[in-house]
Amino acid sequence: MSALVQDVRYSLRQLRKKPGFTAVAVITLALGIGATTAMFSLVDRILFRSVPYPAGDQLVSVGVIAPIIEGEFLFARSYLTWRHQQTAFSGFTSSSGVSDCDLSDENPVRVSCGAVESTFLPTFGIQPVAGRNFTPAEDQPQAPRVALLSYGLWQSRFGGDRGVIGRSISLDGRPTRIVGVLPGNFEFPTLAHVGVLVPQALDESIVQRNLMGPVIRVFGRMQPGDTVEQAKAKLQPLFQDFVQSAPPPFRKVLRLQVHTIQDLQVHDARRSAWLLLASGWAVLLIACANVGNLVLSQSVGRRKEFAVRAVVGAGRGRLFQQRLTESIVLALAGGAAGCGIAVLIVRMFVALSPGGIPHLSEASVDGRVLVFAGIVSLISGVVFGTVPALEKPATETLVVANTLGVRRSALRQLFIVTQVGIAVVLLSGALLLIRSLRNLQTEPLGMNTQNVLVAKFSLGQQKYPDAGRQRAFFEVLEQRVKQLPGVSEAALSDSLPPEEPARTMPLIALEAEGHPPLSPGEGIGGVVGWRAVTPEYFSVLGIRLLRGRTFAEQDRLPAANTLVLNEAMGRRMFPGEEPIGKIVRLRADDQHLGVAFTVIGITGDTQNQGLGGRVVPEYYVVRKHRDDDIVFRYPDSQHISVVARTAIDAPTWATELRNSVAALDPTLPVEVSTLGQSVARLAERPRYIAALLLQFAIAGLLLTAVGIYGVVSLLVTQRTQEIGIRVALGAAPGSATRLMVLSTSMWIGVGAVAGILGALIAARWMGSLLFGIAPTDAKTLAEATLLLLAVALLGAWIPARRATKVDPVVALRYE
Amino acid sequence: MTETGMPLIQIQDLTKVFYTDEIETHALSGVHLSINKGEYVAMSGPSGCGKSTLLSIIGLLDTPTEGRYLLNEKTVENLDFAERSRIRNQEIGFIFQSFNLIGDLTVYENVELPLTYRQKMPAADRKRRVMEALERVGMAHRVRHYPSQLSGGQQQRVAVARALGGKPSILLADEPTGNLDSRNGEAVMELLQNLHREGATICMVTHDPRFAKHAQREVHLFDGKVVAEEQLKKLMADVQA
Repeated sequence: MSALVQDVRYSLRQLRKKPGFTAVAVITLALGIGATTAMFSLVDRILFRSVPYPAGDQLVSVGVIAPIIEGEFLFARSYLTWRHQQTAFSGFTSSSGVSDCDLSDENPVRVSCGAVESTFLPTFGIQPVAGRNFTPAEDQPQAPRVALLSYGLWQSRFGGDRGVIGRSISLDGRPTRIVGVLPGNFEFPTLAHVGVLVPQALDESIVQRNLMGPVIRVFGRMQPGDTVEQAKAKLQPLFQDFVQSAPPPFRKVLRLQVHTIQDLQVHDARRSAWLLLASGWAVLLIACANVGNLVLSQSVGRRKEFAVRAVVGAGRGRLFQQRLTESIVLALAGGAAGCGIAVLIVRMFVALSPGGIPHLSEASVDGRVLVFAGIVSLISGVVFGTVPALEKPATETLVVANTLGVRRSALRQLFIVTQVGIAVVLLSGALLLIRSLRNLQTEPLGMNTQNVLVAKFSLGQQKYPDAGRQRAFFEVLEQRVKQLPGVSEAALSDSLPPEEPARTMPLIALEAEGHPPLSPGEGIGGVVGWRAVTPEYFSVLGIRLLRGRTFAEQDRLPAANTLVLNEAMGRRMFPGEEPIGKIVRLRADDQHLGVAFTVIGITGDTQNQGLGGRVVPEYYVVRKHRDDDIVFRYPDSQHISVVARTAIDAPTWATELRNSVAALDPTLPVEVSTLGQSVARLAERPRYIAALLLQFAIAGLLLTAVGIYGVVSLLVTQRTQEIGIRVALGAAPGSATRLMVLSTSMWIGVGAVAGILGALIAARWMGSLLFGIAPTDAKTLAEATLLLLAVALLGAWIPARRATKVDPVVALRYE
Repeated sequence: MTETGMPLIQIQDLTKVFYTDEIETHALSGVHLSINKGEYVAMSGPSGCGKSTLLSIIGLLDTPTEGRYLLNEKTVENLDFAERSRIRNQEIGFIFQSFNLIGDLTVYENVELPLTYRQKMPAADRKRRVMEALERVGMAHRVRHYPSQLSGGQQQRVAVARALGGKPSILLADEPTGNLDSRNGEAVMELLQNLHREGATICMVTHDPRFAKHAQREVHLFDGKVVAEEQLKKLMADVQA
């Protein structure tokens, strides 16, 4: 112990005595440790932290995957059957999801309401901080309505008053009694924001009435010790029953899904998170290689000291301990500075972060992150300190003079190779993501976003409980928007491409005139999308009309049943034929059953699955002037998007629109943006990831250049005498520079080759993050390598020029 | 210090060959040497004769290519690094021409250094030993100084104190006056003389006949071999001729 204290004390003294070395090493390490720590902080919740529920790893999301519904689900009837028969879970519960609701007290306010079963909180192990959970009796269709408030709403709306328990509020116009308050760290399993929890009140009579019931999300708590695979195996009999009860075409495409809540929350963010964390580690490795080189350089000057220590009795182990202690002390100093850098990086990245990356906004440098930084610092110290510490002390040189020549360190070469290799991998990864982003942003959308403004509305259940009131509002809104100053055209749609996916249905639900229906053996025939729009939708969005016509006002009359297909849909339903004038019958879907539509037009395809997604065959129906229109049969019929082509700027238009809407309904929130902004939002996440990786790549590139600069500087210093002899013998000054650059360039080249190989391996892993570019794109790899080589050789050339200034007279006296 | 008269160092038919690329250099060839406890031996010879190489091997800084080496009747020529370090720490004290003090350590810490490498030596014992050694060389008043704050003579006295602190069986001195002026050189030689009188075994490499005369016995080396004084004179004369 006393030896360790002595080593630490001596290490601190060393750092104080060499402020230049210490500053460079600490800054370099701070950059590496700071980058790694910041990345850990950003991705910790995604990759490593468990969900905030007791024994959270036992909680799973359970359901069936089918092409027409996103994510796993069950119909209510299946859920009720499974709930009684399953043996896989100690807790089994469900939720109908989260939707907007109007909290009307003194001041009406729009909040998010999550509808859950009374078993939801017990299954997740959540206790209300005030009041209680719903009782099973309150979770019945006809029961008086009750609610649990979120902690945030309780604080902001009710000032944290415990007397709120038992008070009645109006929720969507219905009297609702508050029975409890959720804890502050409550998190809905889908990460949806929830202001109020209400009972789901499933109607259990659907089982007797043989109805499917609504789509619900199901969650379970596995038996202690069970794995996801075991739980899945236990559910297989129930799943097979489900499959047998499904229409034959669906049976082949259904599959059972059981995955942890953590998986549910992070799903596609996991790969990006690993990429960012790996890039942080890569920068740290480059930094460690740099500091390793610095330590090696210092070792040259301290060779005599270590020889003396060995002479007076220090064994290799003792010397190793001392040198490793010095490295770790240095690394801890770098780590402390790195924590400061990490705080800045995390703040910056959280501020710049786009929405949709789970848990990113929660990132901070907390105690857990500081422990990580400490561990990373220790590891760094060991990484860059071990190899120099293994150097054998040259004891014989203390007696037998002049045998200390310039050691051509293989370690130094190894460090160069490592740095260059990692920098090539980082740089090529960043360039791939940048190219992918550019491809995403330049991908034709199939529509014109210029001068198009978008407003979104979501009507509350309280004021707009039925189709009649919703339609009345939408039709007045449509007229008002068209009359706003500067608006040339305006339209309504239930959803907008590319941000919002269309409603979907299986192709088997459509019957094309002159074509036999798909047989059950052919499955569902894939998925198609559809939207309900007003006639000017196509012209406002600039969607090209290829043949026929788009909707006109007369198509909105009750007797007219017309369809517009996109090009992909036309090809899919009528391959090699002209679809115009053909009849399409919607046959299998219970909402559309038996309706026959005439195809009146074919439009160009639009990006309807997000940026870079596959174009899904899509058809359009017109929004009709009738309350029993198809669109009002869907539970989300209260949502509407208004698009307008206008020459005036968005803020002015937004003000005009808000004033106009306020005249209709002063409490209705309006969300306004340009279509361009909506589209750009879709690229925010890839842009963010690319920007982060680019920053790491630049940091890695600069650190590599600085590292090579340091190595060549040392070489010039060590070989001054040799250079002097060469110059004295007649070598041209430039040849000394070449000698210095060449002595390093071979290892830069080896590093570049290693980097190319590494980049090819890493690229395979990056494939799913790229769009429109092969992960092994040769041009990108070549550019990354050439850029790195140029910067690395510049880093070598600058100090190598000093060799031309060597005075042979001085150099030959050099010691 | 150790009991006088008994052989402390016994070297038999010792050879050292250096291999560099394709060149083979015989630094020592068939050297026989014995140093008794309490003896003061000077090794001399012309530059390149192998005296420093022999001192390195005696000091366990280097290993012989062939031959036997017994230190305190124990065979030590083929020990590993760790064992050689342990023996150096406990049995051998070094005094170098260029002092080889560690510039970042104080006088006290430099003298204490070998003792810190000893297992489980209490701090109080270390302190007592350090102060005793420094007092013996007259440097106890400079404990907090760094080597750069001392004169060459003072540095060498600190180096001697460092060598003495561990109470070694033998002191090995490699040209201990080589970097000193004549006055300081004489002072260091007097210090060694005093240590010898107190019972220390000393083996000193020097090329200066004046200092060699301080020793009880002179060992002459020429071309890696031990030769008699007369033979050395003749060989030197032949070379000069």
